Amino acid sequence: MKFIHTGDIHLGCIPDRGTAWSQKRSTDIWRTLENIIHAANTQNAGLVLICGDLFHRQPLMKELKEVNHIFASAKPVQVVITAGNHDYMIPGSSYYNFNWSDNVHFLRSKTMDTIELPELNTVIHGFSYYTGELTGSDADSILSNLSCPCDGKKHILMLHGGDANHLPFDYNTLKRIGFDYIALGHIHKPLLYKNLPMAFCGSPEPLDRTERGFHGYILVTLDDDKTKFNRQFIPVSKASYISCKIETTSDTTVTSLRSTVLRIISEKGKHNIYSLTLIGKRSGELHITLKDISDLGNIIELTDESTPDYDIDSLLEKHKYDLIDKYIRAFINDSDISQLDDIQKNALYYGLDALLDSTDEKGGARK
Amino acid sequence: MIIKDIHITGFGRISNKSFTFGPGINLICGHNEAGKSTLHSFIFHMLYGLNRARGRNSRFDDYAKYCPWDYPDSFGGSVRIVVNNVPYLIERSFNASNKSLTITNEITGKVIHNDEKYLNKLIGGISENAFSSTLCISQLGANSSDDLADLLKKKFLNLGATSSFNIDAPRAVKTLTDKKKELAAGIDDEALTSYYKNVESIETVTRELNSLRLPPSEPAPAIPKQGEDLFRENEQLKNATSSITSEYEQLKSELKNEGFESISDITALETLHNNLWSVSLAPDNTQSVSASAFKDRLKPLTLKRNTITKSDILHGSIFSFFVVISIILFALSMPFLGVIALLAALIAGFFTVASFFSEFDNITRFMNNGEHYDIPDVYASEGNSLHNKTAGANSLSNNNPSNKAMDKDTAKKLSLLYKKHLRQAEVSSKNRKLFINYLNYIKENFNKLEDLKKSIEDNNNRISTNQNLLLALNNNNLDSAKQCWTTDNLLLKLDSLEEEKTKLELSIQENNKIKKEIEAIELAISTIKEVSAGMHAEYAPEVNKEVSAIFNTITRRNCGELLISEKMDIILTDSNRAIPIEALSQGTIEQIYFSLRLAAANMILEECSLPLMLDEVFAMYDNPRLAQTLKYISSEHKGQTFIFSCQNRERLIAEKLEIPFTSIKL
Repeated sequence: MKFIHTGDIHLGCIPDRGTAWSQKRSTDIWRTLENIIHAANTQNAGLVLICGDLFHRQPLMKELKEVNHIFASAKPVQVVITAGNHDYMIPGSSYYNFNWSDNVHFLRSKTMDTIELPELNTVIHGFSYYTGELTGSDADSILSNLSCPCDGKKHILMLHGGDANHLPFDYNTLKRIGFDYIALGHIHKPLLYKNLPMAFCGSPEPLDRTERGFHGYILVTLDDDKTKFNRQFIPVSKASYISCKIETTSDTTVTSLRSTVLRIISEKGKHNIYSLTLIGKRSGELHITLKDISDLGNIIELTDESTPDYDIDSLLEKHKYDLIDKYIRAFINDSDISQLDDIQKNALYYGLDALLDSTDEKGGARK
Repeated sequence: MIIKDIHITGFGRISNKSFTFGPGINLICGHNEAGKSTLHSFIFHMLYGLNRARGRNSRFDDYAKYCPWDYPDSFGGSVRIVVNNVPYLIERSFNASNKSLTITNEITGKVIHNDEKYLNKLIGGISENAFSSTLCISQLGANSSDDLADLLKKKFLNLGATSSFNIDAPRAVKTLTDKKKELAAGIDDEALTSYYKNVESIETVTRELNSLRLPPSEPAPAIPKQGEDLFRENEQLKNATSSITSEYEQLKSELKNEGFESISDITALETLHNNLWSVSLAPDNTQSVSASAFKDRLKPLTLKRNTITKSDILHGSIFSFFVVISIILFALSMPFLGVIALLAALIAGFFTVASFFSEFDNITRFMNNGEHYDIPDVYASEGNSLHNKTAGANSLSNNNPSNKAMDKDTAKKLSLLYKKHLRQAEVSSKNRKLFINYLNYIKENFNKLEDLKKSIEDNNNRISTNQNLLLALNNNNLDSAKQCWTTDNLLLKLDSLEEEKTKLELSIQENNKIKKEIEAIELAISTIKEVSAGMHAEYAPEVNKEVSAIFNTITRRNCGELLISEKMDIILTDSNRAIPIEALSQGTIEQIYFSLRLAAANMILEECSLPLMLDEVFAMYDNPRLAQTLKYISSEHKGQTFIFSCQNRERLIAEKLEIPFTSIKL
């Protein structure tokens, strides 16, 4: 039996709000879900498991209709969903009154529930969230009631959680229960346990700058005799968050930096989203902000870790015993400049700039 | 550094003049307006250049003051200095139109053009400000002690005990303060307030979402189908009920026509009938009469009442036949035969009437024979027409011989009952049974009526229930739609609030970033101030000591100390007295500031060999203090000294004290 294990789709999420590409990313998430469901057909998978957080928040009725249409279009593929900690069952949730397509099975019980798919000789176990967090006795009652019947059918467990506030479970305990496969959700980074039929599928689309790396779904094959399983992680995301460090020098200018950034974006792909960090030395007068390069592509952040090219040792030598000497030593007496925090470091450079500008000494005085 | 000689091409009122100086003290004497200050300024500007001030200041600056009126092109000159035994010729043209600087190494012949930094390095790296603040004391422009004090205070502050002397801490602080203001202008002050409001709104909407009515524990996906079924069933029930109601109404009407409104009427009648019979001895062995016998009674009963005999029909038919025949015969112009037919019709008519009257007679006879019966008038007229001929008075006497024992009143009542309900007045066992069956039949109909009524009620209840269910289902659907609409609206509102929140968070992040920058700037400002103050604290005791030592030397005092505050307030302490500088004589004040300058130069410019240039500095000194001062300069100052004076006092004292000097007469 082949099936697709996915989850944490987060439909309705608008990644990187306030940026030029956020709406496109929001649409990307829908298209990626379509692609996954379409892949179920092309890969001959009879089942799609969506382990919670299908939606980023409570779904709108029109969103449910849209997603239902996508699922219905995959018939005869069966789709099993649960509500996660983001789209948990609130009292007024549209989940309650929605009539799903007959190939969609919503495990909406607060406690562990099952759905049997006779045509696949498979039973899916799962539950839905009714609160944003799941800890304490509620979590314990779910975990303590996990059991896998020996009835010749395939039993698949769907769980959403794994961290301290969302169904904290022990992987060793889970693997001993004997499910033929444990489909995990909630952690957005995919994680496939070695030699164990257990995996976090991760979110198919990265949702913020912290979610770097590959994102996709897992295609699982279970043998009929339940002795073997095979799984394959298939990247599917339409964009990735990429982090790059750019080394600056004393000669770096805004224009030269823009050229470098443009080259990086061209090489790695314009559709991706970039977090750039400037390192190294730079001219004291050069202050580059995100606004200077934001038109070059999807740049979510620019961190300036470069330092003004002041030669502190030379300054100390030149200004022995004077105010500048005393000023520098007020910050880095017997310590290295790298030990200063950001504010101290900035204060040092701001003060040096001002003191040197107050003298007749220009540019070269800084070195 | 030694200034060997100078040549003035044109500077103020001096032109084409050369002067040669000695290595120690150089006494330059001349009367007023001889050019002592001009020479003092020339040397200073040869070392540091002379730039034209801008704007209004240019009218009174040194450029305007010393630029030759007649030959401005000659504005400049040369100075020969020896640094580390290497002579350098420094030539300058101050004229703004052809300003130049040439430095020539007179040993190597290397010429450097217009490199002020090179020259500054050559003379020890001492800035213009530092030189003019310490060693280069010009003729006092201000006569008041306050101005003098202010001037020196400012100069010493600027000094700041720094070696470069041109670091301007207040200017640096001002620059930073301006930067801080510029950054602060970029802070969105409303962002945080708006953010809190936004968060509050989000909480409100979230609460509203959470307070939405709990939906049923299980959804009702088949609701539309159930509704359809219910609707169809209700329509069928309504049709059925309508039919049953018609039947019910008809039966009820017929029973009412029989005189029965309710089952209690039957019970009462049955009781009456039984009571009437209980007073008689009538045996209850009459044959059963089928209830079906009454079926026709109720549809309608009147048909039975109009029953006629066969002989009546025969006689009537013969009568009618002969009447028709006679009419036909008369019509065929056969009067004779017509008359015969008419006679036959009359005979047949006679028999018909005779038969009727014969029947009437029988009834009369029945009534007359039954002497126990008293039929009231009200029934008498009816009795003729309604009487059933099959139940005649003879049969009463045959079938119920014991009736004779029944009293007349009871029999009369029974007769009335039977006549009313059976249309037969005869009181007989047969009629009794017939009446009992009649009552049973009516009871059955009442039961049927009850059944119909119950069916109607059941149907109506079911219709009502179904209607309620349909209403509930509609309400449920409506509720669901309303709830969905409410939820979606709240979610969209939440979305919009979340978007606003993100923007505000970005603003707050930007604000925090700016605040961190401001924090860094504030730290820089406070550090500069602290370091400046710290430097004063660090240098103050040493400065006080150095100044006091020089001051005590030139004033020949053995005790007392000068205390100089951070703000350059100077106090002279002497034998437990503290005297502010303003309370001292002008000469003492000048000696204090002279001591201060030399102390600063000694402390900061240890390796400096720039000349000490004193333009009319000792005018207020008395001879002993002047002598002490000259002795101090001669023994302590390592470089050259240029003393510009309009008097011979300095020369005479130097000669008297045998202090070597070079005299230059202007």
